Amino acid sequence: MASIGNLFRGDWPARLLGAAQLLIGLVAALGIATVVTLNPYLLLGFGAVQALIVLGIILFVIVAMLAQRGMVLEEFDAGQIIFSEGDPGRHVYVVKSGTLEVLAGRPDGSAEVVDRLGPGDHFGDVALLRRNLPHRFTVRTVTDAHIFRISPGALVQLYANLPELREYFRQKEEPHLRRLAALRKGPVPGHLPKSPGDPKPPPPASPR
Amino acid sequence: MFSEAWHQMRGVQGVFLEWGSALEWNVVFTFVLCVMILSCIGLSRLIYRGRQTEGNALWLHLLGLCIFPLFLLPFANFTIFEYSKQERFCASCHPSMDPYVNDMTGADGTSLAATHYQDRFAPGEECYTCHANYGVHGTFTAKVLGLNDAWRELTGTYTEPIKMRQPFPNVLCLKCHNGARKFMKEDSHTDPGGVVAKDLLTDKTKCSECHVPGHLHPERAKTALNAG
Repeated sequence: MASIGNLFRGDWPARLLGAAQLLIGLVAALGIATVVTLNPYLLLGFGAVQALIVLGIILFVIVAMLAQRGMVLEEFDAGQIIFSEGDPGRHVYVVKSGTLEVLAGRPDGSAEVVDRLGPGDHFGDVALLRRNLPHRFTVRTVTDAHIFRISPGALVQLYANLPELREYFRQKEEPHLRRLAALRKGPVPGHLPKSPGDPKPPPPASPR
Repeated sequence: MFSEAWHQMRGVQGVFLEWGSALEWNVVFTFVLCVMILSCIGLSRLIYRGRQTEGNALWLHLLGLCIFPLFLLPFANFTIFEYSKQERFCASCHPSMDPYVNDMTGADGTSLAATHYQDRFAPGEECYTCHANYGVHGTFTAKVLGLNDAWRELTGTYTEPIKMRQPFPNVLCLKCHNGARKFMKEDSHTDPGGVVAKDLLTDKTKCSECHVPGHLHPERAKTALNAG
Protein backbone atom coordinates (compact mmCIF):
# COMPACT_ATOMS: atom_id res chain seq x y z
CA MET A 1 0.00 0.00 0.00
CA ALA A 2 2.89 2.33 0.73
CA SER A 3 4.17 1.95 -2.81
CA ILE A 4 0.74 2.81 -4.20
CA GLY A 5 0.70 5.81 -1.89
CA ASN A 6 4.01 6.88 -3.37
CA LEU A 7 2.30 7.15 -6.73
CA PHE A 8 0.35 10.14 -5.47
CA ARG A 9 3.13 12.18 -3.89
CA GLY A 10 4.34 15.53 -5.10
CA ASP A 11 2.55 18.26 -6.95
CA TRP A 12 -0.54 17.84 -9.09
CA PRO A 13 1.27 16.80 -12.28
CA ALA A 14 3.15 14.14 -10.33
CA ARG A 15 -0.11 12.86 -8.88
CA LEU A 16 -1.77 12.82 -12.26
CA LEU A 17 1.20 10.95 -13.64
CA GLY A 18 0.87 8.44 -10.80
CA ALA A 19 -2.83 8.04 -11.55
CA ALA A 20 -2.10 7.48 -15.25
CA GLN A 21 0.55 4.90 -14.36
CA LEU A 22 -1.83 3.15 -11.98
CA LEU A 23 -4.68 3.01 -14.50
CA ILE A 24 -2.62 1.84 -17.46
CA GLY A 25 -0.55 -0.47 -15.26
CA LEU A 26 -3.71 -2.16 -13.98
CA VAL A 27 -4.96 -2.72 -17.52
CA ALA A 28 -1.58 -4.08 -18.59
CA ALA A 29 -1.42 -6.43 -15.60
CA LEU A 30 -4.96 -7.63 -16.33
CA GLY A 31 -3.98 -8.05 -19.97
CA ILE A 32 -1.06 -10.29 -19.08
CA ALA A 33 -3.23 -12.37 -16.77
CA THR A 34 -5.86 -12.60 -19.50
CA VAL A 35 -3.68 -13.73 -22.38
CA VAL A 36 -1.74 -16.14 -20.16
CA THR A 37 -4.83 -17.85 -18.74
CA LEU A 38 -7.39 -17.05 -21.47
CA ASN A 39 -9.94 -17.07 -18.68
CA PRO A 40 -13.29 -15.85 -20.07
CA TYR A 41 -14.06 -13.62 -17.10
CA LEU A 42 -10.61 -12.05 -17.18
CA LEU A 43 -11.14 -11.57 -20.90
CA LEU A 44 -14.43 -9.79 -20.35
CA GLY A 45 -12.89 -7.76 -17.53
CA PHE A 46 -9.99 -6.85 -19.78
CA GLY A 47 -12.48 -5.67 -22.36
CA ALA A 48 -14.40 -3.66 -19.80
CA VAL A 49 -11.34 -1.77 -18.55
CA GLN A 50 -10.11 -0.74 -21.98
CA ALA A 51 -11.62 2.67 -21.31
CA LEU A 52 -9.08 3.12 -18.51
CA ILE A 53 -6.34 3.16 -21.16
CA VAL A 54 -7.99 6.13 -22.81
CA LEU A 55 -8.36 7.83 -19.43
CA GLY A 56 -4.69 7.12 -18.61
CA ILE A 57 -3.54 8.55 -21.93
CA ILE A 58 -5.62 11.69 -21.37
CA LEU A 59 -4.06 12.11 -17.92
CA PHE A 60 -0.60 11.68 -19.39
CA VAL A 61 -1.28 14.31 -22.05
CA ILE A 62 -2.39 16.70 -19.31
CA VAL A 63 0.82 15.93 -17.40
CA ALA A 64 2.92 16.49 -20.51
CA MET A 65 1.23 19.84 -21.03
CA LEU A 66 1.70 20.80 -17.40
CA ALA A 67 5.35 19.78 -17.61
CA GLN A 68 5.86 22.56 -20.08
CA ARG A 69 5.09 25.06 -17.35
CA GLY A 70 7.83 27.42 -16.30
CA MET A 71 8.04 26.09 -12.79
CA VAL A 72 7.17 22.75 -11.23
CA LEU A 73 7.41 21.74 -7.59
CA GLU A 74 8.94 18.31 -7.22
CA GLU A 75 9.33 16.14 -4.17
CA PHE A 76 12.46 14.15 -3.43
CA ASP A 77 13.20 11.57 -0.79
CA ALA A 78 16.32 11.76 1.34
CA GLY A 79 19.37 10.43 -0.48
CA GLN A 80 18.03 11.00 -3.96
CA ILE A 81 20.34 12.45 -6.58
CA ILE A 82 18.91 15.53 -8.32
CA PHE A 83 21.57 15.40 -11.02
CA SER A 84 25.01 13.91 -11.34
CA GLU A 85 28.32 15.37 -12.32
CA GLY A 86 28.57 15.28 -16.10
CA ASP A 87 24.81 15.40 -16.72
CA PRO A 88 23.70 18.02 -19.22
CA GLY A 89 22.13 21.10 -17.66
CA ARG A 90 18.39 21.14 -18.22
CA HIS A 91 16.85 23.13 -15.40
CA VAL A 92 17.54 25.55 -12.60
CA TYR A 93 16.42 24.45 -9.18
CA VAL A 94 15.33 26.47 -6.16
CA VAL A 95 15.04 24.71 -2.83
CA LYS A 96 11.71 25.19 -1.12
CA SER A 97 12.35 22.91 1.83
CA GLY A 98 14.84 20.31 2.95
CA THR A 99 18.61 20.06 2.91
CA LEU A 100 20.82 19.12 -0.03
CA GLU A 101 24.53 18.52 -0.37
CA VAL A 102 26.79 19.33 -3.29
CA LEU A 103 29.34 16.64 -4.05
CA ALA A 104 32.48 17.11 -6.08
CA GLY A 105 34.16 14.07 -7.52
CA ARG A 106 37.84 13.54 -6.85
CA PRO A 107 40.31 11.95 -9.23
CA ASP A 108 40.50 8.88 -7.01
CA GLY A 109 36.77 8.31 -7.48
CA SER A 110 35.67 9.49 -4.05
CA ALA A 111 33.30 12.41 -3.55
CA GLU A 112 33.68 15.36 -1.26
CA VAL A 113 30.84 17.42 0.13
CA VAL A 114 31.68 20.97 -0.92
CA ASP A 115 28.47 22.68 -0.02
CA ARG A 116 25.12 22.38 1.63
CA LEU A 117 21.96 23.96 0.33
CA GLY A 118 18.76 24.88 2.11
CA PRO A 119 15.49 26.73 1.54
CA GLY A 120 15.91 29.68 -0.82
CA ASP A 121 19.15 28.42 -2.41
CA HIS A 122 19.36 27.74 -6.11
CA PHE A 123 21.59 25.54 -8.23
CA GLY A 124 22.01 24.26 -11.76
CA ASP A 125 22.17 27.67 -13.42
CA VAL A 126 25.76 27.50 -14.71
CA ALA A 127 25.24 24.37 -16.73
CA LEU A 128 21.96 25.68 -18.07
CA LEU A 129 23.03 29.20 -19.00
CA ARG A 130 26.29 28.12 -20.58
CA ARG A 131 25.50 25.84 -23.44
CA ASN A 132 27.24 22.52 -23.75
CA LEU A 133 28.58 22.71 -20.25
CA PRO A 134 27.68 19.70 -18.14
CA HIS A 135 27.07 19.84 -14.41
CA ARG A 136 30.33 19.87 -12.52
CA PHE A 137 28.79 18.65 -9.29
CA THR A 138 26.46 16.01 -8.06
CA VAL A 139 23.58 17.34 -5.99
CA ARG A 140 21.94 14.97 -3.55
CA THR A 141 19.21 15.38 -0.97
CA VAL A 142 20.12 14.90 2.67
CA THR A 143 16.56 15.09 3.92
CA ASP A 144 13.22 14.92 2.16
CA ALA A 145 13.05 18.01 0.00
CA HIS A 146 10.65 20.06 -2.07
CA ILE A 147 12.40 21.71 -4.96
CA PHE A 148 11.11 24.10 -7.60
CA ARG A 149 12.32 23.13 -11.04
CA ILE A 150 12.46 26.11 -13.39
CA SER A 151 12.41 25.48 -17.10
CA PRO A 152 15.13 26.93 -19.37
CA GLY A 153 12.62 29.10 -21.20
CA ALA A 154 11.30 30.64 -18.01
CA LEU A 155 14.81 31.28 -16.68
CA VAL A 156 15.96 32.92 -19.90
CA GLN A 157 12.95 35.23 -19.76
CA LEU A 158 13.75 36.20 -16.20
CA TYR A 159 17.45 36.51 -16.97
CA ALA A 160 16.86 38.73 -19.98
CA ASN A 161 14.36 41.03 -18.31
CA LEU A 162 15.76 41.37 -14.80
CA PRO A 163 19.20 42.99 -14.60
CA GLU A 164 19.12 42.48 -10.85
CA LEU A 165 18.84 38.76 -11.37
CA ARG A 166 21.81 38.72 -13.73
CA GLU A 167 23.86 40.61 -11.18
CA TYR A 168 22.72 38.23 -8.47
CA PHE A 169 23.86 35.23 -10.47
CA ARG A 170 27.25 36.85 -11.13
CA GLN A 171 27.79 37.62 -7.51
CA LYS A 172 26.95 34.09 -6.57
CA GLU A 173 29.15 32.55 -9.21
CA GLU A 174 32.48 34.22 -8.62
CA PRO A 175 33.28 32.81 -5.19
CA HIS A 176 31.93 29.48 -6.25
CA LEU A 177 34.20 29.24 -9.27
CA ARG A 178 37.19 30.33 -7.23
CA ARG A 179 36.55 27.54 -4.79
CA LEU A 180 36.03 25.09 -7.61
CA ALA A 181 39.35 26.10 -9.18
CA ALA A 182 41.08 25.58 -5.86
CA LEU A 183 39.41 22.23 -5.41
CA ARG A 184 40.44 21.04 -8.84
CA LYS A 185 43.88 22.71 -8.53
CA GLY A 186 43.60 24.37 -11.87
CA PRO A 187 41.48 26.55 -14.09
CA VAL A 188 37.92 25.46 -14.54
CA PRO A 189 37.15 24.37 -18.10
CA GLY A 190 34.59 26.57 -19.72
CA HIS A 191 34.93 29.29 -17.11
CA LEU A 192 34.09 32.69 -18.41
CA PRO A 193 34.41 35.78 -16.25
CA LYS A 194 31.25 37.54 -15.17
CA SER A 195 28.83 34.75 -15.83
CA PRO A 196 26.28 33.14 -13.63
CA GLY A 197 27.26 30.48 -11.17
CA ASP A 198 26.38 26.96 -10.24
CA PRO A 199 25.78 26.16 -6.58
CA LYS A 200 26.54 29.00 -4.26
CA PRO A 201 29.92 29.01 -2.53
CA PRO A 202 30.16 27.08 0.70
CA PRO A 203 29.72 29.11 3.80
CA PRO A 204 32.77 29.34 6.02
CA ALA A 205 30.69 28.48 9.04
CA SER A 206 28.95 25.20 9.71
CA PRO A 207 26.24 24.12 7.27
CA ARG A 208 22.70 25.21 7.78
CA MET B 1 13.77 -35.59 -41.99
CA PHE B 2 12.97 -32.33 -40.25
CA SER B 3 10.11 -31.67 -42.61
CA GLU B 4 8.68 -35.11 -41.97
CA ALA B 5 8.88 -34.65 -38.23
CA TRP B 6 7.32 -31.22 -38.55
CA HIS B 7 4.37 -32.50 -40.55
CA GLN B 8 3.95 -35.38 -38.13
CA MET B 9 3.89 -32.97 -35.24
CA ARG B 10 1.37 -30.77 -36.99
CA GLY B 11 -0.78 -33.76 -37.62
CA VAL B 12 -0.59 -35.08 -34.08
CA GLN B 13 -0.90 -31.78 -32.26
CA GLY B 14 -3.68 -29.92 -33.95
CA VAL B 15 -2.81 -26.75 -32.07
CA PHE B 16 -0.04 -26.14 -34.57
CA LEU B 17 -2.64 -25.88 -37.27
CA GLU B 18 -4.04 -22.78 -35.60
CA TRP B 19 -0.80 -21.02 -34.81
CA GLY B 20 -0.21 -18.07 -37.04
CA SER B 21 -3.79 -16.87 -37.19
CA ALA B 22 -4.59 -13.23 -36.60
CA LEU B 23 -5.93 -14.14 -33.17
CA GLU B 24 -2.73 -15.93 -32.15
CA TRP B 25 -0.57 -13.05 -33.28
CA ASN B 26 -2.79 -10.57 -31.48
CA VAL B 27 -2.54 -12.55 -28.27
CA VAL B 28 1.25 -12.37 -28.57
CA PHE B 29 1.25 -8.66 -29.38
CA THR B 30 -1.13 -7.94 -26.52
CA PHE B 31 1.14 -9.81 -24.12
CA VAL B 32 4.29 -8.08 -25.35
CA LEU B 33 2.71 -4.63 -25.23
CA CYS B 34 1.42 -5.22 -21.69
CA VAL B 35 4.89 -6.33 -20.57
CA MET B 36 6.50 -3.30 -22.19
CA ILE B 37 4.00 -0.94 -20.59
CA LEU B 38 4.60 -2.42 -17.15
CA SER B 39 8.37 -2.30 -17.74
CA CYS B 40 8.22 1.39 -18.64
CA ILE B 41 6.10 2.17 -15.58
CA GLY B 42 8.42 0.13 -13.36
CA LEU B 43 11.52 1.82 -14.74
CA SER B 44 9.90 5.21 -14.28
CA ARG B 45 9.09 4.49 -10.66
CA LEU B 46 12.50 3.02 -9.92
CA ILE B 47 14.70 5.50 -11.75
CA TYR B 48 12.75 8.72 -11.93
CA ARG B 49 10.41 8.26 -8.97
CA GLY B 50 7.49 10.05 -10.51
CA ARG B 51 9.43 12.99 -11.89
CA GLN B 52 8.05 14.02 -15.21
CA THR B 53 10.76 15.45 -17.42
CA GLU B 54 14.03 14.71 -15.66
CA GLY B 55 16.56 13.11 -17.98
CA ASN B 56 14.73 10.81 -20.34
CA ALA B 57 11.71 10.44 -18.07
CA LEU B 58 9.40 12.19 -20.46
CA TRP B 59 10.38 9.84 -23.29
CA LEU B 60 9.89 6.85 -21.04
CA HIS B 61 6.48 8.15 -20.01
CA LEU B 62 5.60 8.89 -23.61
CA LEU B 63 6.32 5.28 -24.51
CA GLY B 64 4.73 3.64 -21.48
CA LEU B 65 1.70 5.87 -21.05
CA CYS B 66 0.89 6.94 -24.57
CA ILE B 67 2.45 5.10 -27.51
CA PHE B 68 2.32 1.51 -26.23
CA PRO B 69 -1.21 1.93 -24.79
CA LEU B 70 -2.38 3.39 -28.10
CA PHE B 71 -1.11 0.25 -29.81
CA LEU B 72 -2.56 -1.94 -27.07
CA LEU B 73 -6.09 -0.65 -27.64
CA PRO B 74 -6.62 -2.15 -31.12
CA PHE B 75 -4.63 -5.31 -30.44
CA ALA B 76 -6.39 -6.01 -27.15
CA ASN B 77 -9.83 -5.32 -28.54
CA PHE B 78 -9.20 -7.51 -31.54
CA THR B 79 -8.03 -10.27 -29.22
CA ILE B 80 -11.12 -9.92 -27.04
CA PHE B 81 -13.57 -9.84 -29.92
CA GLU B 82 -11.96 -12.68 -31.83
CA TYR B 83 -11.41 -14.94 -28.86
CA SER B 84 -15.01 -14.48 -27.77
CA LYS B 85 -16.05 -16.07 -31.08
CA GLN B 86 -14.24 -19.26 -30.20
CA GLU B 87 -16.11 -22.39 -29.28
CA ARG B 88 -13.84 -22.80 -26.24
CA PHE B 89 -14.99 -19.38 -25.00
CA CYS B 90 -18.67 -20.37 -25.22
CA ALA B 91 -17.84 -23.71 -23.65
CA SER B 92 -16.25 -22.06 -20.65
CA CYS B 93 -19.68 -21.45 -19.11
CA HIS B 94 -19.96 -24.55 -16.99
CA PRO B 95 -22.20 -26.40 -16.47
CA SER B 96 -24.95 -24.69 -18.42
CA MET B 97 -23.29 -25.07 -21.81
CA ASP B 98 -21.76 -28.49 -21.26
CA PRO B 99 -24.69 -30.52 -22.66
CA TYR B 100 -24.71 -28.48 -25.86
CA VAL B 101 -20.96 -28.47 -26.32
CA ASN B 102 -20.62 -32.16 -25.55
CA ASP B 103 -23.42 -32.91 -27.96
CA MET B 104 -21.70 -30.91 -30.66
CA THR B 105 -18.19 -32.19 -30.15
CA GLY B 106 -19.09 -35.79 -29.43
CA ALA B 107 -17.72 -38.23 -32.02
CA ASP B 108 -21.06 -40.00 -32.30
CA GLY B 109 -23.17 -36.86 -32.41
CA THR B 110 -26.04 -36.84 -34.89
CA SER B 111 -27.47 -33.37 -34.30
CA LEU B 112 -27.10 -30.61 -36.84
CA ALA B 113 -24.53 -28.93 -34.63
CA ALA B 114 -22.52 -32.17 -34.45
CA THR B 115 -22.74 -32.64 -38.22
CA HIS B 116 -21.51 -29.15 -38.87
CA TYR B 117 -18.77 -29.56 -36.28
CA GLN B 118 -17.59 -32.82 -37.79
CA ASP B 119 -17.64 -31.35 -41.27
CA ARG B 120 -15.43 -28.48 -40.06
CA PHE B 121 -17.61 -25.78 -41.58
CA ALA B 122 -16.31 -23.13 -39.19
CA PRO B 123 -13.36 -24.58 -37.29
CA GLY B 124 -13.17 -23.21 -33.79
CA GLU B 125 -16.05 -20.78 -34.27
CA GLU B 126 -18.98 -23.17 -34.58
CA CYS B 127 -21.16 -21.59 -31.88
CA TYR B 128 -20.69 -18.06 -33.12
CA THR B 129 -21.11 -18.92 -36.78
CA CYS B 130 -24.52 -20.52 -36.29
CA HIS B 131 -25.88 -18.30 -33.52
CA ALA B 132 -24.80 -14.86 -34.73
CA ASN B 133 -26.53 -13.16 -37.60
CA TYR B 134 -24.76 -11.89 -40.66
CA GLY B 135 -22.81 -8.63 -40.67
CA VAL B 136 -21.81 -6.08 -38.09
CA HIS B 137 -25.32 -5.90 -36.68
CA GLY B 138 -25.30 -9.63 -36.03
CA THR B 139 -21.89 -9.48 -34.38
CA PHE B 140 -22.90 -6.58 -32.17
CA THR B 141 -26.12 -8.25 -31.11
CA ALA B 142 -24.29 -11.49 -30.37
CA LYS B 143 -21.72 -9.66 -28.20
CA VAL B 144 -24.38 -7.82 -26.22
CA LEU B 145 -26.40 -10.98 -25.64
CA GLY B 146 -23.19 -12.85 -24.83
CA LEU B 147 -22.34 -10.29 -22.15
CA ASN B 148 -25.78 -10.83 -20.69
CA ASP B 149 -25.20 -14.59 -20.69
CA ALA B 150 -21.78 -14.17 -19.06
CA TRP B 151 -23.27 -12.01 -16.35
CA ARG B 152 -25.96 -14.61 -15.64
CA GLU B 153 -23.31 -17.34 -15.52
CA LEU B 154 -21.12 -15.28 -13.21
CA THR B 155 -23.97 -14.48 -10.83
CA GLY B 156 -25.69 -17.85 -11.15
CA THR B 157 -28.96 -16.22 -12.16
CA TYR B 158 -29.92 -18.64 -14.89
CA THR B 159 -32.31 -21.54 -15.08
CA GLU B 160 -31.53 -24.97 -16.46
CA PRO B 161 -32.12 -26.17 -19.00
CA ILE B 162 -31.09 -22.95 -20.64
CA LYS B 163 -33.26 -21.92 -23.55
CA MET B 164 -32.86 -19.71 -26.54
CA ARG B 165 -34.37 -16.27 -26.18
CA GLN B 166 -36.39 -16.87 -29.33
CA PRO B 167 -36.86 -19.78 -31.73
CA PHE B 168 -33.83 -20.33 -33.95
CA PRO B 169 -34.59 -18.19 -37.02
CA ASN B 170 -34.15 -19.69 -40.47
CA VAL B 171 -32.03 -16.74 -41.51
CA LEU B 172 -29.15 -18.14 -39.45
CA CYS B 173 -29.21 -21.26 -41.63
CA LEU B 174 -29.92 -19.37 -44.82
CA LYS B 175 -27.01 -16.99 -44.42
CA CYS B 176 -24.78 -19.90 -45.47
CA HIS B 177 -27.10 -22.29 -47.30
CA ASN B 178 -29.06 -19.81 -49.36
CA GLY B 179 -27.82 -20.13 -52.93
CA ALA B 180 -25.75 -23.24 -52.27
CA ARG B 181 -26.06 -25.70 -55.16
CA LYS B 182 -27.10 -28.67 -53.02
CA PHE B 183 -29.61 -26.57 -51.11
CA MET B 184 -31.20 -25.10 -54.21
CA LYS B 185 -31.56 -28.50 -55.86
CA GLU B 186 -34.02 -29.56 -53.15
CA ASP B 187 -37.53 -28.78 -54.32
CA SER B 188 -38.85 -28.17 -50.82
CA HIS B 189 -36.38 -25.33 -50.44
CA THR B 190 -37.52 -23.39 -53.47
CA ASP B 191 -40.61 -21.85 -54.94
CA PRO B 192 -41.47 -22.06 -58.63
CA GLY B 193 -38.91 -20.03 -60.47
CA GLY B 194 -35.97 -21.41 -58.56
CA VAL B 195 -35.95 -18.88 -55.73
CA VAL B 196 -35.77 -19.72 -52.06
CA ALA B 197 -39.15 -20.64 -50.67
CA LYS B 198 -40.99 -17.69 -49.14
CA ASP B 199 -42.10 -19.85 -46.25
CA LEU B 200 -38.47 -20.44 -45.34
CA LEU B 201 -37.58 -16.77 -45.61
CA THR B 202 -40.51 -15.77 -43.39
CA ASP B 203 -40.00 -18.56 -40.85
CA LYS B 204 -43.45 -19.92 -41.64
CA THR B 205 -41.74 -23.25 -42.19
CA LYS B 206 -38.89 -23.91 -39.78
CA CYS B 207 -35.79 -25.76 -40.92
CA SER B 208 -36.04 -27.96 -37.87
CA GLU B 209 -39.44 -29.23 -39.01
CA CYS B 210 -37.70 -31.39 -41.60
CA HIS B 211 -34.15 -31.61 -40.26
CA VAL B 212 -32.90 -33.00 -36.99
CA PRO B 213 -32.68 -30.46 -34.15
CA GLY B 214 -29.63 -28.31 -33.76
CA HIS B 215 -28.77 -29.96 -30.46
CA LEU B 216 -29.75 -33.25 -28.92
CA HIS B 217 -28.94 -32.92 -25.26
CA PRO B 218 -30.19 -34.42 -22.02
CA GLU B 219 -32.74 -32.29 -20.30
CA ARG B 220 -31.59 -30.71 -17.09
CA ALA B 221 -34.32 -29.58 -14.79
CA LYS B 222 -32.18 -28.41 -11.92
CA THR B 223 -31.84 -24.68 -11.68
CA ALA B 224 -28.77 -22.85 -10.54
CA LEU B 225 -30.84 -20.70 -8.26
CA ASN B 226 -32.58 -23.65 -6.71
CA ALA B 227 -29.31 -25.50 -6.35
CA GLY B 228 -27.97 -22.65 -4.28
